[in-house]
Amino acid sequence: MKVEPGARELLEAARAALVNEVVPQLPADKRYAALMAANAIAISMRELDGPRGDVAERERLGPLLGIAAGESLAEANRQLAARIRAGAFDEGEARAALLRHLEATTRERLAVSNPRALRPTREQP
Amino acid sequence: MNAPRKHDAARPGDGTADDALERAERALALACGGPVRLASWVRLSGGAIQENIAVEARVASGPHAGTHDWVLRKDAPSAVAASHSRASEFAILRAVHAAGVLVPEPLFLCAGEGGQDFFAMRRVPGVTAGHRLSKDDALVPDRPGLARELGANLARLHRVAPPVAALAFLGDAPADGARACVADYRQGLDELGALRGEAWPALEWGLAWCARHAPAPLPSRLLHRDYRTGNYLVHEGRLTAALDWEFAGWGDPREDLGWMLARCWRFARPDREAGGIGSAADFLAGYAAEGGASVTWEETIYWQVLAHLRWALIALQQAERHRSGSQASLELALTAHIVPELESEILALTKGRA
Repeated sequence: MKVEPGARELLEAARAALVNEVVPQLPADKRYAALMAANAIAISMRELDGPRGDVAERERLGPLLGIAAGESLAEANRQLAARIRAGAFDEGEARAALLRHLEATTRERLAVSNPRALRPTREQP
Repeated sequence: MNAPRKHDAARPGDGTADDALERAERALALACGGPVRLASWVRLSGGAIQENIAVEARVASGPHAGTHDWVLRKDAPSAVAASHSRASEFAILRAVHAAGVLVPEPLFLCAGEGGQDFFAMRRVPGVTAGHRLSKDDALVPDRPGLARELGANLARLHRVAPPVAALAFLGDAPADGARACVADYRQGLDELGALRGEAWPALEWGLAWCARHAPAPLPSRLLHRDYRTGNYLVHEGRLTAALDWEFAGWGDPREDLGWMLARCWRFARPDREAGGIGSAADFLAGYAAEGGASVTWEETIYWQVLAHLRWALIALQQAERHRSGSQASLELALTAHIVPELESEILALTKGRA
């Protein structure tokens, strides 16, 4: 058994100590670095709460590319990128399916990197 | 009375800052034709690539005799090869200053000892901080006015057309700026992908969209390529100077418009399309009134997509500098986490536009 509190709780406590106790004591020119460190901890915590994003992304790529489940996520994404560049998703249902996948993937990535930027459904300009 | 000398805080105590100051005094004396004493030496914030040092220069004799507020611009210790040399940046500043663009007046290019060139420019007052300029109406009482001035200043820059003999180092102007950008960014992604085995499907989608929707090109002009809030000075509510010319080059003038209007540079006010400062309408009107092309908001969407693609590529390149170990930095590492937001914007802008 691992010792509790484990990684997630420790990161949360470290972030709270940094933001609540250290940052207020810092001169203005050092605060930015400390807040960047707090942000890095927050991203790491959200990533630990994963990895549902990667799993869902890989599951969507199977039907989109017509590839076997054995291919790695990285390999599937390389294939997807190459086929987008070759124009395979420029039109029609292929295009619509690609955009659904990319929107879902981007939301999963944003949920870790910057959840404040998640927008409900973007207003059409 | 002499003001006390302020030392460069980067390397306290080891005499390096004094050496740098004395080397600068010697180089400036050669350039001005008279003895120069630097009565103050204050490092300004900003610039991961370049270092800007505010100095009070006292020139004892010669054509430049007197006391002057100057800024010395030189490569920071962590400089990377991606941007122009100081000699090139000095040539660009001279060309755009002569064209009437609001910039700090370039004064002297000095050959630094050990190959580290620097140049001196006249110090211009003002604030650059994007969060303050976008939020604080006391700093910008007339937002429509400043948005128009930003457009007008860009129009003056875009009067500079190739070829310019002094700017030969910029290379040939592209016949089709948009397609040249798409090719460049694809190559950039390929280089990063080869290092890590990664791929970026959302960015590839944006590039494929840009390849399909490229508008008929406008003739190439001199572009700033980082003309955005954070890179210009505002003093008493007015634009005083555009800064940081290290990425300038030839291209379609609408590329600079898209960079300024892109959501990623609006700081605290994403509702103000022109750099968080004012409306796109005022910015584009100021641009057209000063002789720039008449460009509609809808036309700028294409260039906003390209702007987000470029910033995403630069963010990935910066993160790679951290990952490769060439420059360990939390700030560079975190830059990669901006990319999903840029991807989201690229998808939002392209979605309804088949």
